[in-house]
Amino acid sequence: MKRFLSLLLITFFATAALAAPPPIPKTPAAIKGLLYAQAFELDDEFQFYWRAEKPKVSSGYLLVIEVNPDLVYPRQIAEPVLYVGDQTAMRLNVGYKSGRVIAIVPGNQNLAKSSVDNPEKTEMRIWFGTPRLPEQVTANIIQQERQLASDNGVGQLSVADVKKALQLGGQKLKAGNFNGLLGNVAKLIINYSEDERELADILANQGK
Amino acid sequence: MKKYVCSILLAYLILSAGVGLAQVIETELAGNSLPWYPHFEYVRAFNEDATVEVAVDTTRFPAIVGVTGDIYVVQSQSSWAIGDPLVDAGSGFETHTFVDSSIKDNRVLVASGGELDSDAGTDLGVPYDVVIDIDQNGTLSDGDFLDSTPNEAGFYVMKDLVTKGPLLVRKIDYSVTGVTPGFAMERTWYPLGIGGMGQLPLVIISHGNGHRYDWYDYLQEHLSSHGYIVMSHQNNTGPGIETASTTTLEHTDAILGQQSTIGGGVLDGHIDSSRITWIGHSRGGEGVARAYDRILDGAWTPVNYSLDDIVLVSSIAPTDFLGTASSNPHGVNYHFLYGSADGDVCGCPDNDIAQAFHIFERATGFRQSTYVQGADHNDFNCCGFDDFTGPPGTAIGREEAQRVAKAVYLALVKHYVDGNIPAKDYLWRHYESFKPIGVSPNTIVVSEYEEGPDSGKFVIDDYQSQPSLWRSSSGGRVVRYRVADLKEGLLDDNNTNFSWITSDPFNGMTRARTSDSTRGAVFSVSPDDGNGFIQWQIIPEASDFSQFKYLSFRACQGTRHPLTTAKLGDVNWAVLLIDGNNNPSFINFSTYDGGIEEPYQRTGYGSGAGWQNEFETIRIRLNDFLTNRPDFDLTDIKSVNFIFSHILGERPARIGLDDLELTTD
Repeated sequence: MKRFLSLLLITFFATAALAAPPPIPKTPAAIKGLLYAQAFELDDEFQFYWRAEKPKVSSGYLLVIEVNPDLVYPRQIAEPVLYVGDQTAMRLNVGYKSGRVIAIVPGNQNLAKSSVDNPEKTEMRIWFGTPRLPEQVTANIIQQERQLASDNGVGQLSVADVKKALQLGGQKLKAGNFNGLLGNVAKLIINYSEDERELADILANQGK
Repeated sequence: MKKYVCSILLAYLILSAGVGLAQVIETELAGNSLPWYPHFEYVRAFNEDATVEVAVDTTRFPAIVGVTGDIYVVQSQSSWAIGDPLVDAGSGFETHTFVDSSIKDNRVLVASGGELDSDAGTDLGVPYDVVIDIDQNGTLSDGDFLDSTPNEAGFYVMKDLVTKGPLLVRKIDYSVTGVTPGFAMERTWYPLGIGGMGQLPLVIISHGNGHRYDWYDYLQEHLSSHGYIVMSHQNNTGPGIETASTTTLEHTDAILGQQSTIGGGVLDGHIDSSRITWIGHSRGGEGVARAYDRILDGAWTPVNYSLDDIVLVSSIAPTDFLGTASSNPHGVNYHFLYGSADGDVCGCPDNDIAQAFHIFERATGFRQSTYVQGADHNDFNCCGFDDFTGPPGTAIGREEAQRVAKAVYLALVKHYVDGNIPAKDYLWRHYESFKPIGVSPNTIVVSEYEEGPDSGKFVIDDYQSQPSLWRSSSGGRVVRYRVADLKEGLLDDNNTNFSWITSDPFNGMTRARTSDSTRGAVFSVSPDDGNGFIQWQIIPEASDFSQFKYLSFRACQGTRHPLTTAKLGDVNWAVLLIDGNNNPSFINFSTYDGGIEEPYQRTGYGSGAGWQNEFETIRIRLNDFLTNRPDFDLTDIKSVNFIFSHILGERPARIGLDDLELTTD
């Protein structure tokens, strides 16, 4: 009986603690995998708010990334920043339940380019860096975070994996403006993070 | 000549009527009995389910002793004239003979709960006046007592602030242009009959990170049913606060600038752009403060509105990423809503960003806070993850937290946007004694309220200047006896845990980061070992307290301090005024039902239980010090004293103190 009561008590207290947000995992933290990559090009550029320089962007990649969900648990305090190579990525969904993040990365870099040191690996790392606000991340910070990731064993993606993701992404997406791009993002959310279907609808309705 | 004489006579009669009206004794009459001195409190607002009493202090009005009068509760009139008939609005007038005794013996129940109509439509509070008909002639006459002024009724009976308003409402979702791409959606709730309602104030909601614009229906529907246009927009919180504030600024312009096309033009011409409220949640809560600051600093120029049009800003559990200079509501009317079981913006001592109270402390205008024990971060939207972090059994749940939110936001917008008078009572009176009907009696809400600097208030001591422990910020001498460990300083816990340690005297104060300037005092009292006191001597220029209405201060218990944990519970003490003739008058503020709350018993960040310190505002009506005290002279006060005495029921306590003020309302 005593044991039963103790168990009951432990369960009771554990239940109360369960509601608390998961702790932020240690960073730098590698992603689990790149599931999808599609290049895009827009007629009208858009402002990219996810780094301090706020560049105008007209081309880049749509990515679907598999992650440790605790890294993307929606928090108000500083969250781990998602880096792709020498860019910060714009996260378009939450991805906590699915463990899949749909993101936009600016630029025309060759994602599948082999590393000089190891031809089976790309030059590119995708990782979560120190928690902070992306709008405060400068080129300098990106360099520091890259070094930190490298020093802490965050590996480059394999050429094979990236090629597979690019193959799945297919042809370069051409759209008039950012809203056109969001139509595709909405489809990706439905495909990869179905619990966020309502968010997909919101993004699909932009400008309508 | 006859005509001339008649005119003179007529003028005399009119004038004498006016003089007669002046002889009507205008004074506060309606209120509630108190368990001990001053035995009665005069108040503005009563819930519809509460009783209403009337009291006369015969020591202030000795002529009424021995008089039998009829006490009427009547529909309020903006002006009264001699001869106006008295028609009781309840179940009939009460007759009472006033005796030469304490106010205790001259209290009369004039309305029972539910007796008076509380249906004010979209407004809050049905106004009533009170008349004591001294000559029992059924009309207002010379010598009668009247509780009413041209600007304010004697009292107001309030419906449940949690209940939906009388208007049918509708919501529309749509996309606007000219805002950050990808963040163009808005949801607006408005009264269905808006076409015939003229211009309505606008309330804008900016959500938090990982939240959505369609998560605030509960609040939008509630406010719109009371006559507001309530828009919630997509908020670009992911990149950070600057970006989020941009979305708030853009969407405010968008709804104003595009009202002719939104929803087929249903809002066109019906948005009052001069009465805008911003409510932001979490990162959005910091964002609205940042947005206000950006306009003030000239870093953003709105097209369809200006800074003066933002009449109220409220942050729900805001972060503080940008700090002192940037996330700052300055002098706007500011409100702050926060749950003690917030698992996200936690108020943790090791993280300035998560110390939500910072922004509240930076507000320099009228400001108020609503701290809800047992509420978590996402209780204030419909659908965020459960982040409750607190002792088992203390979660109040989303529905209850939203009842608190609905009530306080209705009171806020009614008061600051529409100038509603009785709504203010919900912003400062202790929840224990006066709370919205629909909120559970078990829910603990701790409120702060502070008048703005333009209100005409006088600050006796706010610890912002005169760092000497022996001098108040107004320049008067401060004396203390048997008050231990008094320190003045920044309201900032100086380490990363809540464990009590003497080197961190401001333990539990999560009100400031090092660049902030909000200061206060902390001290310990042990009245079991002997009475102690703090005395603020009043500078002669400020000795006339009669021109003010309240003595106000805020206080808290020090979390996890041995004196706090020895016996958990409210802390009270006596406030003593001494006049120029050395007459004392004192009130133990526990009589108003509700003292200084003990901190929420959340654990973590060190040993023991107790979360951040919970400042609570106490306002004592200065006229209450005159009750039964005709000799006491409020025009010449020498000192304000806090008396900590076990004889008066106080117990050992660790106390934080700030903002001792005299206020005009």
